[in-house]
Amino acid sequence: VRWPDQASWWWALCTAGLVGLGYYLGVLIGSALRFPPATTSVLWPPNSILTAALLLTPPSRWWVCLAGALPVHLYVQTSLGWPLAMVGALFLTNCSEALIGAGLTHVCSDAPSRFDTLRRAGAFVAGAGLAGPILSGFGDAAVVEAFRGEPYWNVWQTRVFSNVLTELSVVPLIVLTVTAGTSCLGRLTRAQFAEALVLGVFLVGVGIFVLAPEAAGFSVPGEAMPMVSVLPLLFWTAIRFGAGGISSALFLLALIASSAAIFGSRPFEGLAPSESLIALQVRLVLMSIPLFAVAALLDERHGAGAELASRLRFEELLARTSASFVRARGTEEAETAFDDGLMRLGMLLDVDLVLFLKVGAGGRELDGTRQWRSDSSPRFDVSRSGQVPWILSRLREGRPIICEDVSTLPDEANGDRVALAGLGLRSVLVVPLVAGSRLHGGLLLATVAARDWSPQTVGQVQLVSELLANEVGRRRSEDELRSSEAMKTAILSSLPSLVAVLDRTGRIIAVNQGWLDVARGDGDSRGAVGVSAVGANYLAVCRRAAAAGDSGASVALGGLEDVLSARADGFATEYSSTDPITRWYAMTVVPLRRSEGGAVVSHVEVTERKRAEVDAQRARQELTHFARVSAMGELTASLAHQLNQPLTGISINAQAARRCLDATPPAVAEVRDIVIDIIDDSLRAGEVIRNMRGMMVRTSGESSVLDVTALIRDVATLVASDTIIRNVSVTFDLDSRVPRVRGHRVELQQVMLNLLVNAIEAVADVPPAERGVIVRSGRGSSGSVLVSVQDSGPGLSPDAEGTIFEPFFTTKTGGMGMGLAIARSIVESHGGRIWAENHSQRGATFCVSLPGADEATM
Amino acid sequence: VTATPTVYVIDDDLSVRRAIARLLRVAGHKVVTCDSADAFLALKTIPRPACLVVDVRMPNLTGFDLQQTLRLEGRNLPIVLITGHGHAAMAARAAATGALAFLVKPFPDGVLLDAVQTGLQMDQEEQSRSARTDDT
Repeated sequence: VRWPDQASWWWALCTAGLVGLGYYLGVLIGSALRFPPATTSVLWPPNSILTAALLLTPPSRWWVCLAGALPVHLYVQTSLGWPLAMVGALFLTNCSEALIGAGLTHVCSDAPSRFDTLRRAGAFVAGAGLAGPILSGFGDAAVVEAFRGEPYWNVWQTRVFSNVLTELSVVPLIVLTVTAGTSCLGRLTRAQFAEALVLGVFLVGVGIFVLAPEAAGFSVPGEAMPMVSVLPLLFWTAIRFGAGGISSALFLLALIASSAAIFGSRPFEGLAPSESLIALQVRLVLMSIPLFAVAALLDERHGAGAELASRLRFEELLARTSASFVRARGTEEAETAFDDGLMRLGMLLDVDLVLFLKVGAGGRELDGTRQWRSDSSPRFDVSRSGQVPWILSRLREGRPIICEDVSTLPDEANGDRVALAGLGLRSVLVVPLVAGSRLHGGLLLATVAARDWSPQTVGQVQLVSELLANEVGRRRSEDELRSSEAMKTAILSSLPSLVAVLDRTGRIIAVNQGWLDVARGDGDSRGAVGVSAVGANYLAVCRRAAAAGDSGASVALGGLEDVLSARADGFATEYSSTDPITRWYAMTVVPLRRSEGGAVVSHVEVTERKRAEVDAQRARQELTHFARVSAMGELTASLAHQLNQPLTGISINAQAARRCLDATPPAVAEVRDIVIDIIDDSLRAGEVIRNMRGMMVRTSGESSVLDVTALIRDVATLVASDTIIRNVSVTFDLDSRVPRVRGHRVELQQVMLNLLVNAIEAVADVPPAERGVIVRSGRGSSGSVLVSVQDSGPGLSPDAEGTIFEPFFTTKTGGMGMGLAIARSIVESHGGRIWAENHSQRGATFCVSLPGADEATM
Repeated sequence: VTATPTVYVIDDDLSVRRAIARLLRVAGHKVVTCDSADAFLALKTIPRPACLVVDVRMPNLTGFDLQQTLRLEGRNLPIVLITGHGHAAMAARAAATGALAFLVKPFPDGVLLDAVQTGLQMDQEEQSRSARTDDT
């Protein structure tokens, strides 16, 4: 029973009127069935009607029912000429019976208006059936005794038994009729209707035979038929028609019995009619109580069976739907399976529309692509409906919407309400489709008529929605996977390099187009190491190639094994191959960051780059050589002086020796000294020439580990005479413990020579006393070696600082401007750095930083 | 009283210095060697007659520097300049500053000995002339 607030006054009036009418009818019947002059009726339905009304209404509205009954009671009983006080007191006792009965039932039963479980039936029988009449009987008997002088216990007895019977027979009948209403009757099949009719006729017949044989006008031969004769019929009723049937049958029998008693029938020999009636009532009550229990048990079982059946149907739906998802191959079948799932759900729950709501980017519309609608429902043109922003926002929050009537949606859902009402939908149930904490949409169920969505229904829809959400999520992630796979494949095949993916053991599990071509023998890069087909073990291929003497393969093998065994986080190398012509390749190995391990191997042909590098190297060496020779030219004067000294010594000594030999006696001892000096001088001259040759020789490609201090000292001897000629003081501040460097001796000598000559020339124009050059060596940062040459010259002009190392930059009239450019190219080819800065007081400092040999070997 | 004529050899290069000194000794001269102009200037007394054989290129004071210093001090000593790489400009400068001879290494021994002999005679005459001047 519903309580729409806005119409409560109207509802109250109706209820009061109905109760009043029922009460009046009850009074008419009850007043007719009395043993005059007794006040108490033998069948008094008004109390039971009141009880039924109270059971049907919540306790807060009970006053409405009582108020509806009051005027009728007053009118009827005062018209009998009874004193007002008595009438009022009787009303109170009548009300108390209904209140006690309905109250106890309310307390004990989980659904006071139903009798379909043992608990509910028990609560009704105990509360409304027994406790109400018995307890209120005490007050009633007292009132009747006080006003009418009738014996107290007689009254009590009469009233209690009749009212117990009335309560049991009338209340379920009324309550069930109101709650089930006409729909209950409509649901009866024709066979059931016929059965009920036959049963009624039998009951009336047997009732008359048993309870009022005289009234029937004839009697069955033999003894009077015992009361138990009706029991089979009552059983039949209980089994087939439940509590309502029992109640109806009881009411029939009570009416017959009461009427018969009133008209003098006596089913029990030797008893007064009133006593006989009590005996009858007691028997009927005693028979009916277990029958109520039987009916409730049957209902309970029937209900459990029905619930089981519905659960089975639901589980079948789940099983079928998930099976069809599993079986579906391809998008089309999957969509069909999805639609079938919607259809099954709609049919099971008997709704008019089942709709999959998309919640995508900007998804504010009802999306009608996935929907099912019942045959009986009107066509829903969902695509042309309005928007449902509120529903979608609730879905995004992951909250369901359970709405019996869309008109009760909150104000912020105005648009949604209009859209749904425009489709002719009254009740909606919307649950979010969430799989793996990701919202994939919503499931909307709707009916044209108002519908109370039971928690069970909501639970079932949520279960189905989980199933659908998983399917949607799975399909979406499959799509994503497929597109990401496609992207990876496209990227791989667009690469000009040869790429292969290896598993942990080195087996090739995937390759790109370039690799595939070479593996088939098509590509240009046939010299790349170990390119073989998918499935081959790349490690094994490399091992075979290395064993056959392929040096590139053995290097690749080592690097690959390191990466696959996680000893290295990557590997890169360059190798050359002469098959079929000389080509260079760069190989990289990158580990696959996944639990199964593996690596990605790629080969890129770098022949062009390598060739350019070799060309550049050669050009640089030629330029270096040229520059060195020209630097030597600048040193010619100094060198000539160096060579001239020993030659002069030799020449003069030789002439002195001739004179000694010409003398008499020849000074042989002197000549011996002279010859020793000549030998020394000639050796010295040879040394000078050797030194010069060393500077002239073209650089070889080999590098070695060099001592920077020794290197500086070699160069210093070369310029020593120059410094003397130019009257420049050169001081050395060398740290003999600096790390050694790896490089070309002559090239690095060239750099030092260049810096020294530059420094010596820089101080040419300053006064002789101030001409100073300081050469320093020391440790730089991170194991490098730092050499600086500081002069006391005019320093670098601001313009020169940026361009001094550029080719053809020169401040010298005779210079080429190549010296520092070449020095820089040499230093940088050694992984070092060269720079110049002005000294704070005067002059410039040129610095060279070279990596230590330990780092340089890496 | 005339002291033994002395030839001073001033050259920073040991082998050249030793060779020249030896040649002069073999030719009968008394020889004193100095490895720099400063070392020569530091000598307290220079017995006359004397002749100087000086290398032009030396650290600090060059041969020309020494010649100029002596002239400024008024010590008019005959000087034979020797050099590793002589060129016309240097020869002209040597002539202008009054050097006795300008020899480019290596040179024939006769040229040096003649020049030294000439120098010593010139200094001898110079000494006796100044002695006479002093007497008068």
